[in-house]
Amino acid sequence: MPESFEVREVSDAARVIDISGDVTGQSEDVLMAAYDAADSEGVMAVVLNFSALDYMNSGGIGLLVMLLVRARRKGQKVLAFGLSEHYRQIFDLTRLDEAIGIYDTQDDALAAAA
Amino acid sequence: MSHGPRRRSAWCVIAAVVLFPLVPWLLVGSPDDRFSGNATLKSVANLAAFFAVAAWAANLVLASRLRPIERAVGGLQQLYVLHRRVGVIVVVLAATHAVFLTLHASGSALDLYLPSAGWSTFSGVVALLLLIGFVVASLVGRLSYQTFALVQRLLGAAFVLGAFHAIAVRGTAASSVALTVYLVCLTAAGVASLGYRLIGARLGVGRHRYRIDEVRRLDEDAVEIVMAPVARPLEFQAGQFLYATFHQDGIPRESHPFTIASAPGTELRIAVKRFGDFTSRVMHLRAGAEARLEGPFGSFSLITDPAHAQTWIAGAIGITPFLSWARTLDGSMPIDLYYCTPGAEQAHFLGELFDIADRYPRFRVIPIRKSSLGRLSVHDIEAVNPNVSNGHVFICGPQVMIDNIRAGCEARGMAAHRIHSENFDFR
Repeated sequence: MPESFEVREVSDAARVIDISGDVTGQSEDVLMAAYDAADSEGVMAVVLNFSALDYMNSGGIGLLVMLLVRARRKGQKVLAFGLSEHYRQIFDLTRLDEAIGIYDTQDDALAAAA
Repeated sequence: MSHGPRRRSAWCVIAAVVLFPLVPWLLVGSPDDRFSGNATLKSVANLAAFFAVAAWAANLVLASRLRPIERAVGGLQQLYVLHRRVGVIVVVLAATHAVFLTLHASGSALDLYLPSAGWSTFSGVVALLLLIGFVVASLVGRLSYQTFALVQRLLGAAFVLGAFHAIAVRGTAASSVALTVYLVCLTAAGVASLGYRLIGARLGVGRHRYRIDEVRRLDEDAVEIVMAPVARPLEFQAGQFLYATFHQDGIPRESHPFTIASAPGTELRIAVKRFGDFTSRVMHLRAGAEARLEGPFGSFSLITDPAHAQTWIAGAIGITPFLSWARTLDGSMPIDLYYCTPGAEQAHFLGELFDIADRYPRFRVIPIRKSSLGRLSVHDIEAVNPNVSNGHVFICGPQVMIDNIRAGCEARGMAAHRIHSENFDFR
């Protein structure tokens, strides 16, 4: 399923990127465009919503790390919620959970971002 | 053993070879006679000549690129640094010899520089002139491959003349037979090394014959060459490099270094990026052509350490050793590979690396585009892996990239033995 990355403004300091469909190495342009849209002045946290994620492979993992590098350069936190058990394991296996905070719900993630 | 102790050991061996003539020279004759008044000038001149011939012979042995020597020195890059420095020492010693001999001869000094002085003396003059010509040519600018090869041959001839001068000139044999024998042996070693480099290459000695099976065009400026052995295959470890000569009309018979991109035990692959005239011609290489391969060289080897995440940083075509490593992975080690390219279109092997990462999830491949992200820093790596200092960091790419990353790692107190790099500057 084609990927879709929608950006929501949830507070002055946080933006949520709603990810749906597949996240692969081919998703670079749309993911980075979503980050550019989320990255406005005063934003201190970018929250990734994986509730509607269908599929993610190593290419997608690499792009998330790329996004993490961009966000950290600006002093922003990167958080995530809505991961299925399978993708929680993938985040653990790929050590993404060491740099991206994983939460059950959007509220939990936003509370951690505050 | 790391490069530092190996380099020191190599210098000790060279110093011993160069200074050894002092022993037989001191054993015969009285030091009082040799270092009194005007005789001191001649003694200094003679010793400088003996040391120069010994250093020159040692330098030719270094230039042979024989694998045991490369390994003993700690890699080809270290060997070439050593070779250049010993070359400078040879020039200084030869000049010292000429200057002190001229001062000693005083009013009749000019006679020493004329053919009428006899071939045993005049051969030294020719050798000195060729040596000075090499220094001037080196200072004028960067030599083309063809000019460099010609200069190397002329220097080989200069060495033979210089050694002949040192051995045949009246005084050497008279001072010590042991000294003469030593210089003859060194000269033989130097000539043999020279022959191996200049003639052996043409005859295929120490080379592996391969056939080009496929030339995969990666883009306008890069190809991947797939080769199969015609006879004895080249045995190598992932991350090593080789020297290749291609036998096809339109491609100069020059030997150039390329990192092996394939895993050991399979067909051999190298990736070539258009950098200059030779690599531009290689873009036109066709399947069926023959390649002669020399090697393998280098010690940029994968370190197995499943306990700590490793960081691999590749700058553009510097991906090749990591590609070779990735193609040998078993998935047991946590690894982050940063594949830094100017833009997405230069990341030729990204698809294959992602495929490998799909099989081994502990291997992460992170594309870094200079066009959108700029240069990668250790700060970036730390943001992804806070424990980067506990693992090994491997860097292959342009020198500026290596320097930046290495400085960043060292600034964080990372142990030097955990930082590994490979550049292409000496090639």
